[in-house]
Amino acid sequence: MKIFRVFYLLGVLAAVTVPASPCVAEQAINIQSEQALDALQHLLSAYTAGNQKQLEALVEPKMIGYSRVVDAVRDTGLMQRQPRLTLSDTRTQHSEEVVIIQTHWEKRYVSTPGRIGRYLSGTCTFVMRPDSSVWRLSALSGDNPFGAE
Amino acid sequence: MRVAPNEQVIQTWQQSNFGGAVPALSHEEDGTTRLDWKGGIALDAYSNDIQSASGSTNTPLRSGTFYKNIINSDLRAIHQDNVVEYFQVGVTSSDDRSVLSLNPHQLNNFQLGRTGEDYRVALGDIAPNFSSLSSALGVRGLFGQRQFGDISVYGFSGQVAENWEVLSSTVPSNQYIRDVQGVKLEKAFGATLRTYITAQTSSEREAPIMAQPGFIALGTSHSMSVGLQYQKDQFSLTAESAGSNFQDDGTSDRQGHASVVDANWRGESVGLRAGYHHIDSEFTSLSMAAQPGVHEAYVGADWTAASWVMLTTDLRKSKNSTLATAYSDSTFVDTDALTVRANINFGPDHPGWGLSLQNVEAQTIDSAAQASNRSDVSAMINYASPGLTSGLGFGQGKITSEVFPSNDSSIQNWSFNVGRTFSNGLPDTAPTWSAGINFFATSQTQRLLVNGGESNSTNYTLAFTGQVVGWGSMNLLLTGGETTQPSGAPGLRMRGVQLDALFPMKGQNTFKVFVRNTQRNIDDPILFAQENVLGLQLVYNF
Repeated sequence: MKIFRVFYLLGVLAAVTVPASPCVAEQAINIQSEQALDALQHLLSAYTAGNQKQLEALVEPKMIGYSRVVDAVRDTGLMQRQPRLTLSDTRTQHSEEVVIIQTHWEKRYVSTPGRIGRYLSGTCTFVMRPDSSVWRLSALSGDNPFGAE
Repeated sequence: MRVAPNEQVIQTWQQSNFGGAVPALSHEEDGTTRLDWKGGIALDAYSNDIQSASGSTNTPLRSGTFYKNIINSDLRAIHQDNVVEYFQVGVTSSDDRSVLSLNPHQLNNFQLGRTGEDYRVALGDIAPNFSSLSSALGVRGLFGQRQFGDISVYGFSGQVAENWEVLSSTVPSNQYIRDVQGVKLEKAFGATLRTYITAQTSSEREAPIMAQPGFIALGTSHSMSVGLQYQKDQFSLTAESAGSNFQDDGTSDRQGHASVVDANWRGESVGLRAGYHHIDSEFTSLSMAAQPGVHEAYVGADWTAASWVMLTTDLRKSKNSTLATAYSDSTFVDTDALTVRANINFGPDHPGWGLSLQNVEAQTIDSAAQASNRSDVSAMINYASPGLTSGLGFGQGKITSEVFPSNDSSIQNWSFNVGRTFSNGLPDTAPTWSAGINFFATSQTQRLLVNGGESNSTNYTLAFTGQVVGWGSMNLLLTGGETTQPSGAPGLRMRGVQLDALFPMKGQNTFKVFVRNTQRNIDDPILFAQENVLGLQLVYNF
């Protein structure tokens, strides 16, 4: 626990010594990529929270394969408890209209019935596109993180 | 350098470099314009204390002290005639395998390019986005675009790989590398109609280091498409048709076709949309949007029937098929779904009040003739006023499935939220401090139709926020939840606390301290997991 003490002391020291200035948010160099990543994180949070309505609002209605995503969420919502979806090795590419997010995902949940801890992983690409001020999922390619098995 | 008006230059930059930060222009005394180099470093150092009964099955985290460092750089130069040259690069470094699983360093993005009024060239991480059925993917290679009056030509060439590290033989690859090329010829007819034709090709090859030997035959694919985009007033229409030819030495040679049509119209009080997508299971392309085996049609409308009510509906019919192989037949899942919503406000006599109603009906049948049905009805009433938000919702549903009959259930949902904000702001002065508290809770009861067994899930989130100008901000998040088991077995429990405090420093730089504790199924010998995280983050922008 030494490291915790060191961090605590550093935190207190920094809190005391930092100069006062207007609070600013963390600046992102690539604003659109950050916005797309934030929207994706909201979508994944809606999924793990079981908020189907919110999730559907973050998927483009004209997305090819819309039902594959929404049906997977609808079918598995009651069979996966404490779902947790984490991303790693995330990279973004952007063009005039879209942000492409390549990532590796890991999903952990407790399946019902049976109360068994499950682990799934895969690699997929999310394509996010802005519609007015809202970023929505425009395409999903690769392993579907919303499925059950 | 002398340039056009700055607003025009910035507008050109934004149009040509989606995703790039807006250049900061500073005026010199002699009227020239100099571009700044923008960049940022976000350094995290954190310590994890992780306990798990089943190792990584229960948690993605590991015990230890780790760092994560993200560096971004954006270098630009604007010449006369709105010509812009740029170089962007982003790198992540971390010794935490839950952040970077394969290598401690990752090149997130790298692109250099040059744009003018009628051309654009980019090298590095490019994302050609021709159309839905042609090329819409991330490539590491070269992209070019040139406009000749009403005609535009686009082209790209490069490699599709998991990351730059695969191409540099630093990490093994789980999939073949694809060499890809594509071209698009587009003709505009006035401001309303654009037509285009595309052609693309790809060929697979083994990566320098393969994680597993490639047992699948290497394939090559060619595809072409024609399409149009029409937009006038409040009506828009996109349509495209494509064909493809895939060859892998006879193992699974195939030809496929695809067509899509999407239309949208918005009137004063009515919006309509409809679409049809048909993509053969055998179709191949360079578009991540074109998922093989999708056949779907949809019709949607929203109608502001009166000043106090808006109705929304979405009807969807879809069939998702898999590709038949030498070892398995094609299978499909056929789904019909209808969603109807109504959003109601109670007029000026009851400001802030709103009611939303929703009904979802979905029927599914698969190739084994197994059917599933789902029906949901929900209502939510909201109230919002300056500084206060609240809502109460109720829903009831039923699920039956011949695929998982043991899960046939009736479901009841309750949700409640309330939020309050405080500040010393006045109508004519900005606040110097603000604070907020939000509470959100849900409860779900699932009753199994097979044996009447009942499962209850309750979850809550309580958040406190505070901010003082000049001092920083603080967030405290408390979460919890419990799910009981129909069999009477011990329930699933989760509890979490998260605290972060952000302190401003000079310029746009910040310093943050964060602490997190999460406990899952604390009494369970198999599902138990506890995570303690303590960390610091320094963000420095230049």
